[in-house]
Amino acid sequence: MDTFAFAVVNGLLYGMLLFMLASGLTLIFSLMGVLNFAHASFFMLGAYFAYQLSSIGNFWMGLVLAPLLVGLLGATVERYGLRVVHRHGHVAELLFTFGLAYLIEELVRLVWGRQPVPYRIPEVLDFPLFSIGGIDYSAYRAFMFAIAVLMFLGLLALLKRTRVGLMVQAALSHPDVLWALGHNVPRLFMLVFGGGVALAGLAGVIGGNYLVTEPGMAHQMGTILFVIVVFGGLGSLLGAFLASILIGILQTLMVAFDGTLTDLVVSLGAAAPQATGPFREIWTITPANLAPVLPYLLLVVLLIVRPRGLLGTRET
Amino acid sequence: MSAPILSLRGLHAFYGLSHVLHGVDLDVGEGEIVALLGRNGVGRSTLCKAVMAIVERQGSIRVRGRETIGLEPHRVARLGLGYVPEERAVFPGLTVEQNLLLGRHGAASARSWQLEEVYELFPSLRRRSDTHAEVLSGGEQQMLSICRALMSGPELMIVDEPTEGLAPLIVEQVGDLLAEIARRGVAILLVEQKLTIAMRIAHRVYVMGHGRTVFEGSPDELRTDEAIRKAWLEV
Repeated sequence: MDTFAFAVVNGLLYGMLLFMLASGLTLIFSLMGVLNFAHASFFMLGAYFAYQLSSIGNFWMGLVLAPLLVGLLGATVERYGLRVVHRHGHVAELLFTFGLAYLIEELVRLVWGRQPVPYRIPEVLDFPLFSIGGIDYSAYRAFMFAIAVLMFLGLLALLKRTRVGLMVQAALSHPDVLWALGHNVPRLFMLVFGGGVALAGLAGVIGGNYLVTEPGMAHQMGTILFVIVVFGGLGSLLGAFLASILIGILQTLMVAFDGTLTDLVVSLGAAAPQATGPFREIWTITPANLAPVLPYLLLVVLLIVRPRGLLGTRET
Repeated sequence: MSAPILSLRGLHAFYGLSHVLHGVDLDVGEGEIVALLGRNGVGRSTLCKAVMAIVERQGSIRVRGRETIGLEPHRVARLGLGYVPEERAVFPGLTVEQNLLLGRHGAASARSWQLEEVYELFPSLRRRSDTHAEVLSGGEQQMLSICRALMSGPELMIVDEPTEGLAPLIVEQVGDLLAEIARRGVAILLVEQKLTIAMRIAHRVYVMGHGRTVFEGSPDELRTDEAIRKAWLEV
């Protein structure tokens, strides 16, 4: 039971981390119609920037500066890249972000090397906050959780309470009309793109040392991220939130549990089955083996049953 | 007629790949209501979008003598133009009041309207100020769209098909509202398919056909010119 509770708490945390990326991605998509393939690359840059800054100064410097740098970079990419490519249509935009993802990955390899970098949890937060059934829960995880919640509340307040938020909501339905009413919509797009990838960068800052900071992290995160936004429904923030939490918890739960089909059969009182024939592998697969596949399985099933995703308004 | 607020010369415009306007000349003077009439598909809405710079255009569009062909939409709007798009295009998910507030852009001048003044002009919007715009009736959405454009204190309003799909009684109200706005010194370019309110409130009328203007004159002149009406307006 303790393992279960622990897995749920960890899954929730992982889900929140996923949502920090998914929220920006889905916001950028619903506003600009661009599916940003490089979104997870900005997550990775956040982690590397934070590593670099924490090696010069400290973790807190990275926490503040790294997302800002990533956001600035994102705004520049939008202003001088995407905006130019936009004239040639969505396929060109898609290819642009696709190329950008590879470019960033290669640059990271060039600058920081192929091996993981030693980006560590700050010492002040490296202690067990409480323990359940002998398993420690680190203070850093609680800190990550707090940052994610704060970010979520901040984003909500920004969208619902500020003028920029009003403009974003208006631009979702009629960007041309908003533009013709005298609002600088291209600048709004630049801000949203920069802001969206800055959130991904922030996720990288607090997630990079919790996970591993290495050049493959963007690719790994990127695939699961697309599952989430498609699953939640492209363009739906709430859908992205639900999908993030669901997939976060499911994956963590599956990794947490041992046991195979053989164990199950044995525990039911039957004799251990003979593992022979072409399907013998089935008896020795653990849930952890299946964990990486599960999100895609969910995705495929959902797309067949409900092509809009959980809460999406348009067909994906 | 005094110096025009809006002056189009040899305006060409494109909608996607199609060439819609083929050299339009048109003027709107200070405080004047000018109606632009024509059948569906002659390029009336494209003309509005061309003026607001949201479609590709060539030729000359001057606002108070200033050439706007190279400007972006928000720059054009900030010269004192208020845009009431076709199909109202109120912002769904936002309240009536939030829609109105978005009518006032960053560079809105002393001419810009306060919420109170707009509510006085059209009181039923005040009662519904916290209602989401998309649940309003068609007529109310149209009033909202007009009032939203008014918030920036424009000198000229481009009003695209404000009576489309509205009941006759509401059409009358829209006409009254536009006439009242014009009385306060705002010029109006009114784009319509039907003649009803255009003939009632316009000072001058243009008729469009095949991407060009084919008639210019007073409403009375159009009334008597049966040939033009037959060729370009009546179905």
